[in-house]
Amino acid sequence: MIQYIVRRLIFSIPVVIGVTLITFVLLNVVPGDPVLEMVGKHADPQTINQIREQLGLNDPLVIQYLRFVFNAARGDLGKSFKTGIPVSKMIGDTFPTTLKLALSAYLVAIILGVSVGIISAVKQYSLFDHSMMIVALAGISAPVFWVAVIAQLIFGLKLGWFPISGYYSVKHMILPAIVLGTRFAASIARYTRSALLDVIRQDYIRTARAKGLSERAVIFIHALKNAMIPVVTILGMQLSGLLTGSILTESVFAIPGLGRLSLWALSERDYPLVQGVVLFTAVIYILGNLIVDISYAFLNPRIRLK
Amino acid sequence: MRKFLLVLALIVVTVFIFAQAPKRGGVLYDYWTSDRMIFDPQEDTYLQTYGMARLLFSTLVRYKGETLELEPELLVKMPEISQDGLVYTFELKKGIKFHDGKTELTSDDVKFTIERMLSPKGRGASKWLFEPILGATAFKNGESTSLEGFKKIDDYKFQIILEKPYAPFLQNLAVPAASIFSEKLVKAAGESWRLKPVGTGPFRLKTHTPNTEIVFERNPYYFEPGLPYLDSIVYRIVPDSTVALMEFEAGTLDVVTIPVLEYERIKKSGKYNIIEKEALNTYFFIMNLKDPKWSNPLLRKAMALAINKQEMAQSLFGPRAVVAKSFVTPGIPGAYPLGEGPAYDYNPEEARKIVAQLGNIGKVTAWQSGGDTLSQANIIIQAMAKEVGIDLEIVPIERAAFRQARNEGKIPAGYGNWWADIPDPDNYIEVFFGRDNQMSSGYNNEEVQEMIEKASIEVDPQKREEMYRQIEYKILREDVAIIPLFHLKYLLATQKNVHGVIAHPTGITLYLYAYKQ
Amino acid sequence: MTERKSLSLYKDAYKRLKRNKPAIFGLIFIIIIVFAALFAPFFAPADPNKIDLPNRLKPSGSPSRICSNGVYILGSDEYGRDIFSRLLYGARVSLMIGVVTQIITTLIGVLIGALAGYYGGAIDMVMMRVADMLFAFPDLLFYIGMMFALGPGIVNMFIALSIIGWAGKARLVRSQVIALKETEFVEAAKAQGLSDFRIIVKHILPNCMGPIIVSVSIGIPGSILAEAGLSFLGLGILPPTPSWGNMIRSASSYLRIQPWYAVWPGIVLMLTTFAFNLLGDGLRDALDPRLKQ
Repeated sequence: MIQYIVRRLIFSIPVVIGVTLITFVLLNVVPGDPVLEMVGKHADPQTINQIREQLGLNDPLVIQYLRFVFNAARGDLGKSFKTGIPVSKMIGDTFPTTLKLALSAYLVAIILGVSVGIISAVKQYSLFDHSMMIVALAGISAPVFWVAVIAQLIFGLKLGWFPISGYYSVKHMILPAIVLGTRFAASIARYTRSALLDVIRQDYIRTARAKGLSERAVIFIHALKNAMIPVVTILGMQLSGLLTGSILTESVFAIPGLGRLSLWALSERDYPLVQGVVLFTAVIYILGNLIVDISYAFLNPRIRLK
Repeated sequence: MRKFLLVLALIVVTVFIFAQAPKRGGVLYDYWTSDRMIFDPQEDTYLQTYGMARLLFSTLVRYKGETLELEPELLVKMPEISQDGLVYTFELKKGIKFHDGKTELTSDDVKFTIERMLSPKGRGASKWLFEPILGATAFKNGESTSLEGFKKIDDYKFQIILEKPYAPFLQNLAVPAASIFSEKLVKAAGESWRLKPVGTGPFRLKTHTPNTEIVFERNPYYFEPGLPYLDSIVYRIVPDSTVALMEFEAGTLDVVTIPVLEYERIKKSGKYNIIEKEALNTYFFIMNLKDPKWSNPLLRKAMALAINKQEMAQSLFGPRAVVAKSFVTPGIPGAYPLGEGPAYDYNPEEARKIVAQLGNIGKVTAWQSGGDTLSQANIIIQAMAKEVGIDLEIVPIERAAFRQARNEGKIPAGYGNWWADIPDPDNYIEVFFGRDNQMSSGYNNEEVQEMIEKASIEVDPQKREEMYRQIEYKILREDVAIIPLFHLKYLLATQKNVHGVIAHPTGITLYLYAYKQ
Repeated sequence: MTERKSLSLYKDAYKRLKRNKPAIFGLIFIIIIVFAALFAPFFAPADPNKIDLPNRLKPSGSPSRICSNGVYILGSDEYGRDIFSRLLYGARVSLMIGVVTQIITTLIGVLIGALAGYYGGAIDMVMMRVADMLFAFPDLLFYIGMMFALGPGIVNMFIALSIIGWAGKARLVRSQVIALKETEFVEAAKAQGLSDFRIIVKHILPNCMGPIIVSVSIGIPGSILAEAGLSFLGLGILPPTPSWGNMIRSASSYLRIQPWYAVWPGIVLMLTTFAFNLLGDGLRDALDPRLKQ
């Protein structure tokens, strides 16, 4: 097991380096000068050059990239061009908010998705099943930013149940978590349903039924455990989707998370910050998938890691 | 009995006066659509950072209330100017303390502030403010270690000597970028200065939660007794202006910029105070004289005649916009009075005639700088150009890229706006049409550019104003290098209990005298 | 032998699909939308970019000077343009984004996936690591970066969405190819001395078609939503060209005055992706009967 994890991690290194290289190339292809973004409307060529020198932007690109890689390998992501704050600190300050949003959204998604999935599977082909599956599919189909805007209008302004935007208290997190969460709930419900249906037909479930266990016990004890596999898969698959969703959700609800930080960094051409955020999310994604794969092994001994 | 009545009357009057007097205390909630992240007005020239600078710092001179008239701020009185317009003598108020309550402001801080901006090693983005000072160029280029034109007399008195006369110099000193810093505190803060500003202004920075909110609290050591009234000001970051309006209507914001289409509804509701105020800006369509197509003066004239400014202004900004006849905003000394400028009026027949005369010119191009409020205007400009037969293609370019191209003079034409830093024609004309300008105007009329240089150093105010009107006539009427479209007013709404908010023409909302009833 | 096998597979799949009501509903809806998009000039009562400034943000059913039927069916937008006409023209953009990016990504994905799967070794290693990188990259951030780099516009959108999009398809095809490579009929073909190219094109790819079709039908709504997201952030299709994404973006500024303006493009967008998802689901069930519950 440990050997497996170590090997996976070693294999990830070239992937991570590749991601930073892509980011670096992209940043340098993108028109727009970070220094011009900084100095504003009265640009003075001398000042611009001075700042470029300070930030190391006058060095050859190869040197700039290698410097970044070597520093990053030592855990130093550099300082933001704009604020001068270490990039790691800026990420550290914003990531918890995104994590909170993600976890609350997952919570909404799992509670809603798993319960709808179970009921649908148990009452297969019922009206509930049909309508829920259609609602779930519609949920996947709706653009998240649109749902967010409409939710703001209805629940924030018209009904006044939740704060409209910003992030100052737990209450501010409810609406965004629901908006982002219901989206994932839809996929989880669909997968839970089909996984459960798959499992229900398996031999050992029939055996359990034959042993006279009540239907409820059968579902909960045996079936649900196995049905967790797709749920975990979805969580893994949607790790990157979550960040995507959070960029849009965070912009609409004005939540100061990693998503908005990355947008800001990109529009300010804050190279070190963009590099840092991309590197960080790539690592999160890789680790997340590793955890998902490991949890498979725990959930289903039949799946062996190789 | 009479005595009693008199006392009663006195009481009534006093109560009445006190009821009207500003109340101390309270928290005001305002918002910004984005977080600039830093607080150093020498480094960042956004109006937003300038707005914060007016809370945190003080300048030597400032505008009186909402006027364009200067008054001393850190100074005892307005500086004395020598006959030749070269030597300015200043005297600082004594005992002005920075936010830490200990550090006292002296002449050395002023020198430090100016040199910091000009320093070849620094990040000063508004060097132009102090460039008229004697020796500024040498200092800027690292050829001298001390600014020649700054003469300290004692801790509170100093002189600034200019290289050549420059009438608007005092106005430069009122720009928030010219805020006075403390040498000791800036040096002590080092790299973190831009995040932890310490000034002499009415408020000090309490907390900054990036992309969430910035909290300012009353500066207990503020040098003007009794001010400010508010305990604190909270700027929330609300990226979307629709959301901001929703928040305002829900009562969670005290001030909001009213979206144009919502103006009637907000005003009619009678629930809010409305602030309307002219501001120093001009929205325009500028054409690059070095562009192969726009270099044709007839094409530029046709374009100027094609735009129905009235309809455009009305539909874009409704009650916020006033049609522009000149580039320099009316109200500034040296500008044409409102409605009397030299720009061409809408005349589609004439425009069509010129286009016919031009023959086949094909597609002409303009650029747009990202953002979507601009695109509304561009859609209208495009449609109006089409009406007279000009096939105008508008290419949107992402903001940062656009800025770079503008710096390099590569933008063929485009809709844009200018919010002046100081109420002086030089800040419009020189910036856009002077030699080596960075506004991508491609302006190359040698004769006019010489006139611009002469006007800027003219000492006689009346003569100077006349010169600028002549220059503007040439640029707008003869060369048609720019088409002024309209000027925009401020349109703010505040909650009913908010008073004393000043919307200054320079584009900055001032809270020094604001209070909540 | 192979041919016959796959033919009967598709016949069965077709039969199963026909019985799947939601999928047929999805298909019909897609046909309607495609039809509407193709013949937008015919159905639209007005030029989608024709402005009428005095008639801004009118509710649906208001009289109109620019619509041939004299009425704004779904109201007017902030320039007095006809929302209904813009929705029709917007369908062109959305469908084109969905279809073109899927064609590009499928071509690249199939090519790379087949090569990697068939030959294995170093090619496989390199290509799959590249795919891993693209997967690990936060996709929206990448699109945004690409759109900054390329500038907005429909062609640039194709490029941006395709550069990442092929990776998923390549992985899918690769795993299929690896599984098929070991089967008897491929071995047989090899024994007959057929070239690798022929084996891949004639024998392996036809047998991967099922999963590819499913991934395309599920990928289309994904691309449509990505376009909408980018346009919403102001980086996608530029006004005045209507796209559902940029319509929602503009409309969100007028929620208080004309909420329906934001609702219409959202609903059309949702229904379209919904229809593709229904069809995709149906196709998957039809092509892979084991999954059918």
